[in-house]
Formats: sequence, structure tokens, C-alpha cells
Amino acid sequence: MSAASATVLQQQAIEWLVEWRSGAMTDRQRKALDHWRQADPSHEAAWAQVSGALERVLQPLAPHKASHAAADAALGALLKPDRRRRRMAGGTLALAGAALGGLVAHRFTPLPGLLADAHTATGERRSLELADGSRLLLDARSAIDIDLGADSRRVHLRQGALIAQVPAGSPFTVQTRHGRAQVPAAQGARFMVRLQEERTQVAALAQDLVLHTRLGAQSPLQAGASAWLDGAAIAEALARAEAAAAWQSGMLAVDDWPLDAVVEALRPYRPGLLRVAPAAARLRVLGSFALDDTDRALQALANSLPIRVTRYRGGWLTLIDAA
Amino acid sequence: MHLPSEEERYAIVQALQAVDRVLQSLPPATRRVLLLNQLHDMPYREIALRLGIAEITVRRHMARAIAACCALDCATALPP
Repeated sequence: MSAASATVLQQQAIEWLVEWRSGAMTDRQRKALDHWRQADPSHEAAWAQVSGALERVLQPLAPHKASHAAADAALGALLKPDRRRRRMAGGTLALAGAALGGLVAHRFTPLPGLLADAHTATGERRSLELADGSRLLLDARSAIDIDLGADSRRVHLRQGALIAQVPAGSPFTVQTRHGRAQVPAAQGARFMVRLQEERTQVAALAQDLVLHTRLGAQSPLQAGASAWLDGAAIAEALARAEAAAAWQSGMLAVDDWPLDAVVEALRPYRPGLLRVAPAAARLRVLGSFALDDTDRALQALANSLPIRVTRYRGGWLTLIDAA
Repeated sequence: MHLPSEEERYAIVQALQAVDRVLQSLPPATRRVLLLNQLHDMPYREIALRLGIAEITVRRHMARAIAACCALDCATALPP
């Protein structure tokens, strides 16, 4: 029996597991690991505990593994053992379903968020202070990367929305996949950026900004105004900047938005799936809705639009259809 | 023919959110190293190149991440 304490053994097992995951383990190291595991039952127990812990904590991510093993992993995670045989009869369709499950999950708790410098969960708004004194308020289900340098300060918005309050200094940029909003050097600003599926909204709350699209179009945005960027063009929006940033106080203020865009803005505040049928997606919406109480917001939509809202089993799925 | 139901998908989503909360307690760099290695089976050398850090630093992040997983696993496995 080894005299090593449980803590020491755990530490050794962790070091071995670090080696094992390196992707560059030599045969000699493999043998050494086998030898260590077989040297004492307590070693094998520590190995099982540590490697099991890693597997258990990350097991839910197995369906997203970017390899040919993804299908197996997805099935393993999706299908309960007692139902396996019946499901396997589904063949390729079951596989397709597993992949779809991954996609749904991805939209729901964005994996980009897991890899980002900072992100927020469903229904969570969070403020953070950067090293340069800037303050960021992240909307629910948002994800950002932060890159502060001496010559430039950059925030990459990967998902959701933020409000940035920026002190004067080097140029400050918030970038999305559609383009970027820039605060020129030696100027402070307060502004909002929201990334949507097909476009990005920017609202200048205090001080002017400069907008650039991914393809090189450029336009100033005056304080108090808001604009939409897609990859190519910039279009001034009807909404005043403060209305576009109303989510900071838990309100969604929309001015002639299609219903599917309103639903997109409600989703980060609602656990469970929220779907809108194509027949209802293009209805136009005008008004203010409470983000922190999405049941109330949906009721308000149902009161003013020709739609039917149906909840299934405790609210994990909500469907909006044309009435 | 049977597709995994919405409820099963929802279960995965819940699990993902649980993982998400766990990993939130790790510094961003540690989280990134762990996920690149676990999700993409990326060798340390490639992670080091991609993140612009030393391979020894990748190892340190991995050790830290695994230790955090152990702590969490024990916390959920044992009664309080």
C-alpha cells in the first residue's frame, strides 16, 4: 500500500492526465503511465477518479466534438442506454436528429460563449470594467473577446449586445462580423452595439462615432442616432439611440421591427425554446416590452397582433403562430 | 423512424448550461485551452501556436482545468 496521501495521488494523476491529453505522448511515456497505474490500486483509483471527473464534467459537450466521432458521441449523449436499440433502428435519421440536437443546443447556449473572454447567461445582464477604465454592460446571452493594446482598444462582439462607456485614449473599436463602430483617438463615447443574425445595430448614446462595414463602406453616426450595418452598407435607423439601448433597464423598445427580430431579442431572456412560424415572422411590431418577464411580453404581443402563442409542457417550448 | 425529441434536446441544452456555469469559474485562457483540447482534440503544440503562448503554459492551464473538474466532480458526487 502506498504511503502517498490522496491529495498527492490526485496531483500525480492530474499530471499524468495532462500528459495523456498532450497529443504527443511517446510509447515510453505510455508504458510509464501503465506502470504507474499498475504499481498500486490507489494509483489506479486516483487515475479513474481524475479522468472520470474530466469526462463527467465535459460529457455534455461530447455531441459538439468536431471530429468523425461526433456522430457516436452525439448518439451516446442523446440516447438513454435502455432506448438505444430502438433508436438505432432509425439509422441515418437518428444521426441527423442528433446533429440537429447539437444545432439547437448551439443556438441556445452559444458555444462561442464558452470560448469567449466574457459572456452572460440567459436572463443575465452584467457590467464589467476593463483595464483601461472602460465599462461594458453585456446583454443576456452575449459573448465578447477583449483586446486592449497601447495603440488600440478592441472588443469583438460575438453574440448578443453591449453598451460601452469609453474614456478618451487610443481608438476604441467594437467589432462584429458585419463591421465595426469606432471611437476616434482622444475622444470618449457611450454607445450600444447589437449583433443580429443578418445585421448589426449601433446606437451612439453620447458623442459621435464612425461606422465601417466589413466591405469598407464608412459613415459617421451622430450622437443620439442609430444605424444598421450589414456586411456591405450602412443605413440610418428610425430609432433614437436611447430607445435602442432600452434593454439596459430591462425594456425592449421596437419601432416597426418584424416579429422574428422581436422574438430574437426576447430569446436571451427566456429559458426554453421560443419559435415563430414563418406565417407570423414578418408581422410588424411597434411598442415596448418587458424583457425580464417574457410571459408578459408574449401576452402583450398576442394582444396586439393576429398571433397565437402556445406553451408546451412547462414552457420548455413556446410556439408563435399566425392566428 | 424516431428522431430525438425536443425534450431530449432540451436536456442536452440544460447540461450544456451546467458545463457553461462550471467553466465560468475558470480564467478565460484556461477555459480556452481546455475546450480546444477537449472539443477539437487539439494537441498542446497546436494550441500553443494558436493562442501564441508557450507549450509549458498550455500544460499549466490543462492541469488547472482538470483540478477544477475534480473539485466540481467531488462536490456533486458527495453530499454536502
